[in-house]
Amino acid sequence: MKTRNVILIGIVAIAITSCFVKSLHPFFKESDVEFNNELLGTWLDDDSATWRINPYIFTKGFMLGDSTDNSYLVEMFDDTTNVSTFNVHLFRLDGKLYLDFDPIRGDRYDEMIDIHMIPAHSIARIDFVSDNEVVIAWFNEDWLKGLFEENRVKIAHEVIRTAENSYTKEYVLTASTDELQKFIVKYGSVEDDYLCDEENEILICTRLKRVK
Amino acid sequence: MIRITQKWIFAVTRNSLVLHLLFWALSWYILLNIFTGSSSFQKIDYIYTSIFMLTLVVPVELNLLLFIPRFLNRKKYAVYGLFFLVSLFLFGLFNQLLFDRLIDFILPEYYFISYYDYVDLLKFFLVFLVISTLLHLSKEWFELNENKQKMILLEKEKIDAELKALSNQVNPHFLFNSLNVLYSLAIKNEKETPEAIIKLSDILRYVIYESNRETVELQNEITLINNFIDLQKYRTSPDANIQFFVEIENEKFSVAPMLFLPLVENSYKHGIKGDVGKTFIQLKLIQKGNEVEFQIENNKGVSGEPEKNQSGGVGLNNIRSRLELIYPENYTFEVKDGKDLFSVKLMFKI
Repeated sequence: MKTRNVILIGIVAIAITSCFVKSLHPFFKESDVEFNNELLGTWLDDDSATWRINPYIFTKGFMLGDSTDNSYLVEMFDDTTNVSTFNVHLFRLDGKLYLDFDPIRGDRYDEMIDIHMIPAHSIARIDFVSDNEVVIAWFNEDWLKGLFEENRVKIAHEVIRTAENSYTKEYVLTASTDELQKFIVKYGSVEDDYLCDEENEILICTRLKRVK
Repeated sequence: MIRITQKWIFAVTRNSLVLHLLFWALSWYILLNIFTGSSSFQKIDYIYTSIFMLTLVVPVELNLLLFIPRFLNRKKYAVYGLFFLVSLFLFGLFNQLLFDRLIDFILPEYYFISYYDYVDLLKFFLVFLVISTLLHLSKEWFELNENKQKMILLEKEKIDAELKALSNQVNPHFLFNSLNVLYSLAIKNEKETPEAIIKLSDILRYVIYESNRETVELQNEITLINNFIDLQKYRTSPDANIQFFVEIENEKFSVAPMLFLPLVENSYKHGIKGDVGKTFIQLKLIQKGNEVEFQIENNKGVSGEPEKNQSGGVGLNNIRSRLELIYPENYTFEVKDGKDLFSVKLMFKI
């Protein structure tokens, strides 16, 4: 379920199913970014979806050649071979490692739809358990949604209702990167050992096992 | 209705507590609008704004109630500046610490962060401190100007009263009567004529020149009264019983000029009249320590001008006004207008 939703985030940009916390602004600053070669490779997650992780290379411009910004290109394949592509940044905040997922708009969809889509960032904690296993835990939107609806959290956001389901409210964070980071550090700092704890309502966890 | 409104506004603007409350109520509303991203306010916005404002209230009130009166108003600018800056930096830091850490213990069910970095917080605090200081200084400036206006008005009243006193001092009736006396003496070639002229001259010289001073010696006022009484003898009945009792410790005791002569003149005008028998005036002047007491009593005359009574004269009111200006809250002025007796008792302390 989790991976499918990640893919749906990639397809529809602002997800129609509430699952992960989404933000218009990135959760990282350039100075926070790190690159760990241990993340490169092919992985299999709990839903048997395949993750292919390579360095992200982009073209700087006409005749300017290629470059990299120390981020990753993550391609996810589900059972139906749908591919979702993300530009992912590994970054460190207050001693803990995070991933920022930024969907890459492909050319799979109608251009008219594509121009209406606004890419949203999602954030996940990452723990390198071993050379062949990592734990990735996304921030659970239901947790944040509950706080918004009970009026117990103050952070810039917008409430949207999608065309598919006008009864359901979706929340998109519009806070600045600085504000997002303060919030994540203060309320999202769960110890690595408890990322997949069942009582942890803040994070939604998945494990990746290396294939090659 | 307008007068009630004006009174209400006056009372409110004079009440410091009310002004402070108004200032903070307005500030709270402005901050609420700044901190809330949308046009509708949520409960969380009220809570955040209220807590944020509490961190502002303390340094601003400290500045208004302690630093400004103790340091700025006493021109200890360096010390004031130091306290101003220390409270600015300290409370800015406290605000940041409160929302980063302490708020989780105070309100564990709510999720707040410090939404402004330290420099931005300092800007908030600086704006509030400066605006509140300027408002406070403006209020003091208005009050100072008001007091200055009152002083100017009082000064004007004093000058007006002194001018009136001066204009009453050279009583034209007295001058006219005295000149008539001198004329009578002169045409009869009376030997008292030169002496009468000299006494009149002394009186006029004193009234015109000496009475312009702020104070004169008590002995000079006594001499003036005696000269006046002597001059009046030429036009009053020999039966008139005039007694002037003086008991003073210090001849050079300083008093305001021309406080007594108008009372003596008043008694002569209304009491001693050429056509009334058994007339009397009794004067008593006592000076002891820093206190002077002057009493004068005269018979009530049969007035040919019933509309002018002795107690309603402009001269008495002028004396009263002058006493209020010169010896405020240090004098008594009693007038008793009985059936057969009129008396004035004046007492003042230096």
